[in-house]
Amino acid sequence: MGFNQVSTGVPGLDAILAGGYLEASPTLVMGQPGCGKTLFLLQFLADGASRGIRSVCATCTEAPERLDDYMRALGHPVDQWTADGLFSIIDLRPVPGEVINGTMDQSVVKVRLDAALSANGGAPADGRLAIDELNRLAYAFDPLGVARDQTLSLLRELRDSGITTLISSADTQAARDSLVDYAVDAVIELCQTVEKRLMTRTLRVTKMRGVAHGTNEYPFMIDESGPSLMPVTNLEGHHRSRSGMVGTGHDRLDALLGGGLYRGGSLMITGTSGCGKSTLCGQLSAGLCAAGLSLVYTTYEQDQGELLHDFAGVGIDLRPCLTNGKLRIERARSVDCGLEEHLIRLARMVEKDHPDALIIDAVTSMTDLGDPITVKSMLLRLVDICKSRGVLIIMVELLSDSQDSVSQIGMSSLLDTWIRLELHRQAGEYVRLIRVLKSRGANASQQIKEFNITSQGVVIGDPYAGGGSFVFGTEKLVREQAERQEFDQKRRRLERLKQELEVLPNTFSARNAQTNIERDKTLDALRAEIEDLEQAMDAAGRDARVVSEARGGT
Amino acid sequence: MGSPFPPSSCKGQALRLFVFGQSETMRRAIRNAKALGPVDVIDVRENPAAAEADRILATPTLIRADEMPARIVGDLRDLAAVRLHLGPPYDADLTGDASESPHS
Repeated sequence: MGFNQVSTGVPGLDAILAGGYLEASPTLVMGQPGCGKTLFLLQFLADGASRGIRSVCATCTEAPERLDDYMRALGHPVDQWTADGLFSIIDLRPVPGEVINGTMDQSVVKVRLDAALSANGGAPADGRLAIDELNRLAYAFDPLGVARDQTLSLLRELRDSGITTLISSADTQAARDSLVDYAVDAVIELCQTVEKRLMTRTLRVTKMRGVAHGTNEYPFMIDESGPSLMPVTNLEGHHRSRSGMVGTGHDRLDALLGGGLYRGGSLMITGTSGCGKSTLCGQLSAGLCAAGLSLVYTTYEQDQGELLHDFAGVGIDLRPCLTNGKLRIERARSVDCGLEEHLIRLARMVEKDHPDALIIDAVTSMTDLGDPITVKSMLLRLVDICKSRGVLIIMVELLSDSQDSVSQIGMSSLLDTWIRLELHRQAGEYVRLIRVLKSRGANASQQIKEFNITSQGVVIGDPYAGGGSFVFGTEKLVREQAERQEFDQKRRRLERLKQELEVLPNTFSARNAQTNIERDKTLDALRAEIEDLEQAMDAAGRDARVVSEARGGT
Repeated sequence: MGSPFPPSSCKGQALRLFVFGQSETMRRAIRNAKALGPVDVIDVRENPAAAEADRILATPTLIRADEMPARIVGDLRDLAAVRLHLGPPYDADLTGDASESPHS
């Protein structure tokens, strides 16, 4: 809306401010001592100097040499910039021992600032100005009365001159009353809180004239390269940059997943303690590195040595991947810093190193650091960042035993693939099982498989399915053995019956032959007897006739 | 004061008065300062580098730049207090110069 904005030099902040600080206007950064205000100022100036813009830092507390040191510590070529006339420091610290006698006026400050800004021959408004702890300037002479008016008029003059200014002020009520409402167009409040003994820094934009800025509390961190915020991704999308699948180097796993994992996708592995999540990560690491992907394995639980040793024990050798630079193992301790810092570190690493894949074992370590809603929103943003940069993100979620296998993080909508590992209890043992809950756009298996960790890595086996139930593990072996015995018995009987079938017709035909022979014999005997009898009877008849004829007939 | 640059407008007087333009306050300060002895008057608008070198945060500011440094901010309306603060030799005739105090 007619406002030009200038980059802040703080990664992630421009997006929240919808472009940057207001050009030609004063912006106030408020916050308690030690929360990083000065670093925001220095980064703003460094950003300017690196663009060839004359950048001036006015200090009301820190010695100029200290600020130079800070700049060097942030990695800025401050001496070169100073020599090139791109950077200079104006010392606005009160001189010790100064006394007041009568009325005075602070317009000279603006004169000094203008002179410094135009030292290269340009107009003051062409430069960038930062005033550190402006509140100290106001109280240099008069803690209550005149000084406040002097400060206000300085700010008014700065705005009238169109100088892009970043001002820091300690978070006192006085600063709030005197500066916020009247004199500045934008206010950024920095806050640091210590919760569970961990420091959390947040930033909030409480005022920004004419700009639709982000209104939330945004976590930020400070490291050796200054303050940074979690990068904000373009919410309007095209961030679905899954580009084809990559095999996991494990055929059964690929089959289970319906082909493999998406490049630039997201995978969640959930499971209770001891169900093989890390081992699966190890297996995936080995496979993905072998497929040529670069990978960062972030572990919160073990150091590199322990991890490699444990993987080697189950036949997964990651040392070649480390040697050829495809794999990097990052050890983080969840208690080292707050949740935000962890996630910002990860996000910045993704932006800087741009690995093909990132493993976080386990994201649950972060839930110790914040409430579930915060953790979830931070993770969502991390997943978002990885997706928008085409980085495959693999997260491990540890489910507590009492959780009844219900995910606490519950971010299914952002996951492309979700693998659930389970411990199945039966007949005095636990059996590891694997199943794919979800695999977007892939023909994933819906079956529960055995997930065996062997000395040759992960072996995925089929369960015993029979008698209307599924059985795994030893029970499966017992059942299978029983089934085998039963089968053997049946097979033997079948063979016997088959033999019998073969034999029986012969038996009967032999018996038939015997019977026929006997029958024939009997028939023959009968016939012979009949013939004998007939012959005998014929002979007898003939004899009788001969006798009768011989007696003279009747 | 650890300043790397010598004031460019330094004419060598022990007293240096920084003013901003010609307002009534500035004129009063100049009058009072001159009552103390020879003084270099520097308008910060004409010579911001000098203001920078001496880290001037307000005007008028009187600086004693010899081996007994002192700084006084304001129009020096209480000249007796000014003399007292500057010390020798400016505090020599305190009673006689009380009338030099400004009349509003």
